[in-house]
Amino acid sequence: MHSRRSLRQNLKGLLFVSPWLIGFIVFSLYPMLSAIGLAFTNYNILQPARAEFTGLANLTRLINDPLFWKSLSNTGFMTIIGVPLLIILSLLVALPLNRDMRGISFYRTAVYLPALLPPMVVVLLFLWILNPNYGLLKLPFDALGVQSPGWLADPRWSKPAILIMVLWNTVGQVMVITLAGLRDIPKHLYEAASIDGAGSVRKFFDITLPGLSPVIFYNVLTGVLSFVQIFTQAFVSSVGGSGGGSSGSSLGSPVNSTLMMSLHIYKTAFYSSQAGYAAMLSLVVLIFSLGLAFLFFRFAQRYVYYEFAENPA
Amino acid sequence: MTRRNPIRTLNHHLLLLAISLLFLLPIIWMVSTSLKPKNLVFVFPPQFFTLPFVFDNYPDSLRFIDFGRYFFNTAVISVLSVVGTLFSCPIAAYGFSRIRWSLREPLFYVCLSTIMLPFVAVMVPTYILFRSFGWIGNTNILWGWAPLIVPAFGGNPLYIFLLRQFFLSIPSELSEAAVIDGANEFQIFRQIILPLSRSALVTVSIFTFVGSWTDFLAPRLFITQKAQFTLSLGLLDYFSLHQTEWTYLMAACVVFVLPVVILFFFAQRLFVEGISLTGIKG
Repeated sequence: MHSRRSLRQNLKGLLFVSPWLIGFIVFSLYPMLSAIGLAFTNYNILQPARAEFTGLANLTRLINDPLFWKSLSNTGFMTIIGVPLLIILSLLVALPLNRDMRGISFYRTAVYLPALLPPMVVVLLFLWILNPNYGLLKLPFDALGVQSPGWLADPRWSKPAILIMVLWNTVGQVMVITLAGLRDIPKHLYEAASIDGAGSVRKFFDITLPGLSPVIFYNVLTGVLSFVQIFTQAFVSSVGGSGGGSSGSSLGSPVNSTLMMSLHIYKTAFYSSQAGYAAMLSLVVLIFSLGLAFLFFRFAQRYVYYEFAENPA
Repeated sequence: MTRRNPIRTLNHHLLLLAISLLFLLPIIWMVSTSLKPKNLVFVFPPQFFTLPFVFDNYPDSLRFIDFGRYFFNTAVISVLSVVGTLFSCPIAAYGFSRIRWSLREPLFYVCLSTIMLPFVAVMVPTYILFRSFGWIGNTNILWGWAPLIVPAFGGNPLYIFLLRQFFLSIPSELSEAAVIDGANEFQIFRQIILPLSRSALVTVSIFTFVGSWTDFLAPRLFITQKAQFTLSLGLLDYFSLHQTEWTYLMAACVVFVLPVVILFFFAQRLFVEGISLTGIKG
């Protein structure tokens, strides 16, 4: 009796989630498994019929591929520098915005507005702002009397340049989440701390930061996810730097300083047609994302699930 | 925080004004460039606003590329993605929240963990899969767009998660009463839960629309026919040919951004609530 009822409930549940389940199998699970399979073949985009199993050849190639290590360090740079900056900047902006005063919604909107722009628009706009001769960002350097960096034309400055555009484009979104977290911290904690004579620095480290920790953890995870995947900005800047061309040779320029993992995968699969090796490169990202998913899973178990069960939005 | 003195309030305004300006300046610069006569673009130090404004840059720029077509394409793709999301996400979220079944928790965690799956890691096999479906390079416009639209009908884990949280907050007594009245599960979903969730559904629709409107990587991967290009692709195309036409480029950018900004000002509250909801709490 009981098991029949539970079978019916399971069937009903499955029926409701079936659009997602089919989507998951076709658009996530299959591609993941397929990436694992492809990684051990010499699958060529142009001659798929000739694909052969090549064992660990792609792995050997990966270890000996200087561009793989270059792209790994580029993506690593963006993530390791970019995510902390994203978190700190959004916190620095959210703190003064967390105050009920006249005109506050104007300021909040102003900070959020850049987050609405398509990455394509952001990168085109910044190619213009970072123009070493006529760009807007030359002004502060002129005022200080120092030479403006060559930004996207200079391998030392190309990554910081991309970092600037990505941060400008994403801080607003993270700020909104941080602001919501700040508002959830009970006011009486601050009042109690004031009575105990705690200063504002003390309050920040003892109340604000611990209260925000789930929000910060969430922001770090989603931040890592987006920085690991940076594509559009690097793609367009390097196409722009060289006058376009469809050969793909300029992707990641100057001197491969903007060759992100995403770009290396893209270039290998679609310009060199070596989808097999590109899949091996993808596996590196996939394995990394498993770690992320695990952390997210733990996070959800700890905060999301229970908090919502007893304290619905 | 308890007592406000006017000088501190003024200082706070000045601080916030400086921060806002930092974020707004690039946007102002975009608009200002789009309204400049061509011969004043390469003047340094730059002037923010030079009168008279050259509004003709707009029609000229939109004629330069096939702007109308790309705009239309992007709009159709975005709207159909919204339709797909509204088809798949609410019903899955319902299954994950308001039906009790033993496989629910394990499957929900599978769904949750795919939020962290980077598209970049699966783009190559996904391309090969879509090509085997005959979707890549298909001159029939709807088949050509299928790679951008059909996945929306398979649900987005983040939106499912968001809607699930919302559905959980609806009192279960409502469903129980409906069961007594003889309603089946689907009727409860359609006639009780969905109407109560209008704001969450609008939020998810807006996010889907904006995501689809601004996307570059997926169109770049899957769309090869120029007639099927989205605005992101069209702008890149134009940019690689005429790199220094900044007035036209910025004018096109402004028009590209406009629908999203208008949408934002109409639904500001939902935007903000929705974003905060993705970060765990409402």
